[in-house]
Amino acid sequence: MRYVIAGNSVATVAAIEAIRKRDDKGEIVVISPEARTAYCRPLITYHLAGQVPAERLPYRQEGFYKAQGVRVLYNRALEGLEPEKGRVVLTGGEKLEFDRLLLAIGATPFIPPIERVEGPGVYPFTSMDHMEAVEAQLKDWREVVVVGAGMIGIKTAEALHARGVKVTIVELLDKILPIVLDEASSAWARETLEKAGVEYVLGDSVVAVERNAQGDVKGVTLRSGTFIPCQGVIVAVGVRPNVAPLSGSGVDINKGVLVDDRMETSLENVFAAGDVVEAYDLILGAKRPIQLWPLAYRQGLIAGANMAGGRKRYVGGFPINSVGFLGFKVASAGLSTVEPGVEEESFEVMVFEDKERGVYRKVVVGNNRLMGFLLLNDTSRAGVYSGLIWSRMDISLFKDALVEEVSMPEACRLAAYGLEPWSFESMRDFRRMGWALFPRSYRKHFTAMPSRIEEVCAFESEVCTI
Amino acid sequence: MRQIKRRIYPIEENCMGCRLCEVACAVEHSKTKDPISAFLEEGWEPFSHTVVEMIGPVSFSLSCRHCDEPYCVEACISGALRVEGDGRVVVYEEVCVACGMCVVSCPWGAIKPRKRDGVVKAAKCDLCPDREVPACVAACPNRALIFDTALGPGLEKVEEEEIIEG
Amino acid sequence: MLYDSVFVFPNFEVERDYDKCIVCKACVQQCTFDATYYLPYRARVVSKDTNCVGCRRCEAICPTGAIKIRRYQGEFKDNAYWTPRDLKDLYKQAEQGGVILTGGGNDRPYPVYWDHILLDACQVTNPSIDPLREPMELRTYLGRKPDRVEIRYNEDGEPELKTQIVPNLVAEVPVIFAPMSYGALNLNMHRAEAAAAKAMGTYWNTGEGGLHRELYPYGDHTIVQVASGRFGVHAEYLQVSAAMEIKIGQGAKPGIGGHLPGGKVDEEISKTRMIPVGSDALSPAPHHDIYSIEDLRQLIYALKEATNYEKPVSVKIAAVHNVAAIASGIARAGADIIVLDGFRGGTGASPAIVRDNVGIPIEMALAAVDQRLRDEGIRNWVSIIAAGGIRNSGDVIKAVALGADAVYIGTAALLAVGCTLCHKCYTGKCAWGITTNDPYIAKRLNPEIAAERLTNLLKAWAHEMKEMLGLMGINAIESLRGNRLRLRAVGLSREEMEILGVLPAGA
Repeated sequence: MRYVIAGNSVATVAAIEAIRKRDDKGEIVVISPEARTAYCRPLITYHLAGQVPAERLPYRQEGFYKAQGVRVLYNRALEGLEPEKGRVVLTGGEKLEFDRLLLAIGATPFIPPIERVEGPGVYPFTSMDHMEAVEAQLKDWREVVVVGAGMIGIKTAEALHARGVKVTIVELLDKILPIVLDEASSAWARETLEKAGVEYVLGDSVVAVERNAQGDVKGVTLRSGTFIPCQGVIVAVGVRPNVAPLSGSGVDINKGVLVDDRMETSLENVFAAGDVVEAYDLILGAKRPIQLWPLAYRQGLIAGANMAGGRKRYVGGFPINSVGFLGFKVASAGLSTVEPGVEEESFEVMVFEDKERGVYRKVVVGNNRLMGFLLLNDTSRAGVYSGLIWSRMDISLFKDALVEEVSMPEACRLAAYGLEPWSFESMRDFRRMGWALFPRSYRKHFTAMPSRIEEVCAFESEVCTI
Repeated sequence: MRQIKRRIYPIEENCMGCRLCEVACAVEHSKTKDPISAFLEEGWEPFSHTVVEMIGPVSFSLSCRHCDEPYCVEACISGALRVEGDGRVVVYEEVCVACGMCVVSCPWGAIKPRKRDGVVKAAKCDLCPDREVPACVAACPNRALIFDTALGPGLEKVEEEEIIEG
Repeated sequence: MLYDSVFVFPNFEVERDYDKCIVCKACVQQCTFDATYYLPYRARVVSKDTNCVGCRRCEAICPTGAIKIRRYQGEFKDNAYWTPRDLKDLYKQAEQGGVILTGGGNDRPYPVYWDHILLDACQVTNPSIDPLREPMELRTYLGRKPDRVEIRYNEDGEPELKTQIVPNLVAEVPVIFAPMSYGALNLNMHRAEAAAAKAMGTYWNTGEGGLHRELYPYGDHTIVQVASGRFGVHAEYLQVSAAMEIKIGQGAKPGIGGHLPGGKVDEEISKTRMIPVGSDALSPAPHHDIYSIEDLRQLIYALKEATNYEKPVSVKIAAVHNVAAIASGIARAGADIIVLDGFRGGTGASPAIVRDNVGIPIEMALAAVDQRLRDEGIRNWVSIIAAGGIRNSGDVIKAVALGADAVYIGTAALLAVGCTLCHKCYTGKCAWGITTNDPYIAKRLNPEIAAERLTNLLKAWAHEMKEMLGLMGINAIESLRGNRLRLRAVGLSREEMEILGVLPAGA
């Protein structure tokens, strides 16, 4: 049995581990476009900022591939797929036969139509190559424009800021982190940026990169006509599934590679995982590409298990994010951008805000299920909300408690919390967000057995009993 | 291969909400491991990995479940969270970049950021490597925490999971 | 203190060492009487001494030993007649105009006759027995014994018993858990008693509140009570039991009934007692169908009839002045076991004035009853269980030598699982989770741990009893019963010794 895995990042590692749990003899070949072992892609901004040294970037310890018995073909990318012959075409026309194939070829950065965007000084920021290119030029850069205020844009801006570069962020939409934050939290984020001295332009876009005679970047022009001088431009307006090598292969593709709940594509024995796929979204109830690290791991693990003859199902996923920049912390999942008071017929939005402590907490409830949440600064029990989303449980009886001040354990630790003296009775009657709110059968199941919540969800009919 | 899979289970019926498990955990993960110093004198903020959830008669102490397929390990962007050979889920602090992804993804709320000497790292139950029985279990006056060291299925050649479709 | 009446003086003070207090607030969460609370502004746990009942729960739970409960240091002017307790009770009554309630047993300094009785031991002329080397029997049969045993020979010439033996209880240890009702205690305590009784081959008694269905599997080790309120009495309840007990009186409050406040009657208790949720459970002072020995006989035989004469019936009375004559009547009414409950016996709730002033010591009652039944030649008709203030295995041995077949332990059993005798059982807020049905507090009593502790207690007592029997040269507890020659009295008057039937030390 030969397993061929195209791509070499988190989904690949997860798949290798899952395959090896079930099959320790089969041959595993990894096609790695980069001349490196799998590394922690999100850490490249941390590395640029000087927070993480290069030796901490590999995702698994040294010797991982050897220990798992994996052959890695470095510097080769997938160029084509010939399913009827059961083989893949690699860079340089090399062909490789497979019994099971995993497409984990990720996504490619999207470069919007900007004049003179081709050329030196303009980079996306999704790989070590980009990181190294930026690093090499950083000494010549005093001002940088970051196009896009998404996750990558913000983290890159933070890193460049930490390196002493003056950063201006340009975002087409009128929010910072537009797919995560709502208006209120975006205002907090703007305040953070202003305090730190990071400039930003919202509701505008870069139409042209201005270059001098040598072709070096000297600034960008916005649609509004504003000219921002800079020596470098980072384009971080999102990524698209890397489906180009698969054209003509017969794999069903929409925006990304379509997979079923076993992570198998429309072709038999061809699986896909990670940023390249379009898999089930647990909240929206439809397939769509969600390019996120944890989902890539999960998909890789499930694809690997099924490739090795297992029967594991991908129940679905939803976006989960945790971003910290310049001391601003945000945790979110699912439909976190729903504005309070808007779309009231489909969503119930509950908000708690404490300006003094900088705490903002919002949960989005739809059809009595938790659909999303957004937490600023106090994120210590955010995962409990994620668990609720995974469970798809009816939360109608305790949804009001979800955003209350603090969970009881937190309250106990916060010495200054509350003004009233705490008596025996008051400690008994604390009703706060936490597992104790959940139905007994639900919590007992999961405190007794470490199961995956989304896979055991026969709790729809049960409501909370205290 | 069968191996020892160690876990702490809360027994809800027995938990009376005194929070001595939290105290014990904080003491065990302090500099001096002395209750009074840990809370009153050390520079570190006392920090408990286990959390007692309580609403009236419902209470239990919740800490890391050491899942077979942990959400936190999936979410960790730096590879700092790993499943060890003995099934424990462990944070390698030197690798952790405090991104918070594990905090957001753990449905039990069992991972929390811990600030020590000005540095924030993910912190979670480590099953007290220095002790035979974890501190919280030893401290519980009412046997509301059970340390299970029963033989569990090995990590290799797992039985195929039967999954209830959602 | 502020908002308190000026007439309230504390009994205890909570001394908190702030060098040790780590502000974990466990004491706040554990103090059901609101004697400690946390002040966020000061980030301190502080105490309200007037609320402290001295149960010492906070002291036990404090992880750093920062708390000490002390007797209140403030003192009234010395007065050998008016004690501080008299003053405080009087102030309270002047304030509230009501009966002062209490729980537990009589704690007044009346003489303790156990402590005036000493055991004999073998020396030289009669050998003692080493219980570790030789068999030693604690098994006790409780119930009616035949007047004489007749034997007949079958066709093979083998002897066999001609006399019909009525059913007896077999206790491997002559110590039985006293009747304490579900309602007064919580289900966790009943679970623990049932499990311990089963483990030790002895019995536990449901008290008057019925038997929770969950505990029916322990029926073989359960004595079920039929009291004046008839709570929870039905056919299945009687049939599942090992024996039935008619409760006439209780040592802590002879002659008065019981009252379980409606607030304590939750759904489970309501089901078990067969009364509506939230309704007061009132046990009348007398059984309204028993006004004579003949009436009692009717009830005894009604119970026997209901259970096909397969189970012994016991009658429990408080030890009062003419207890010997009453016991004789009960024996003649057909009871198999008589339970005598002395004035030290405990209660879930009783007027303090009754608890402290009514009844007689169990030692006297026991000796008087045993002697009377022997004099009348009917001692073998009944077994006697002594109850009310058995503190240790020495008390058990002395009770057996004074004429008891077995003893009940109630207070001792509660002590084994944490009770500190704060006597606040009637509040329903027992901080040790024993005499409360608040599910939040009742969780503090883990039935598994409690059962282990009760089992350990009985094991320890059994071991000690064997040692004491051995040193007296006796190898079966039944051989000691009523053997008052093995007792000697110290510091008692001639009349007291006469009633006890015990010779003075040296005689």
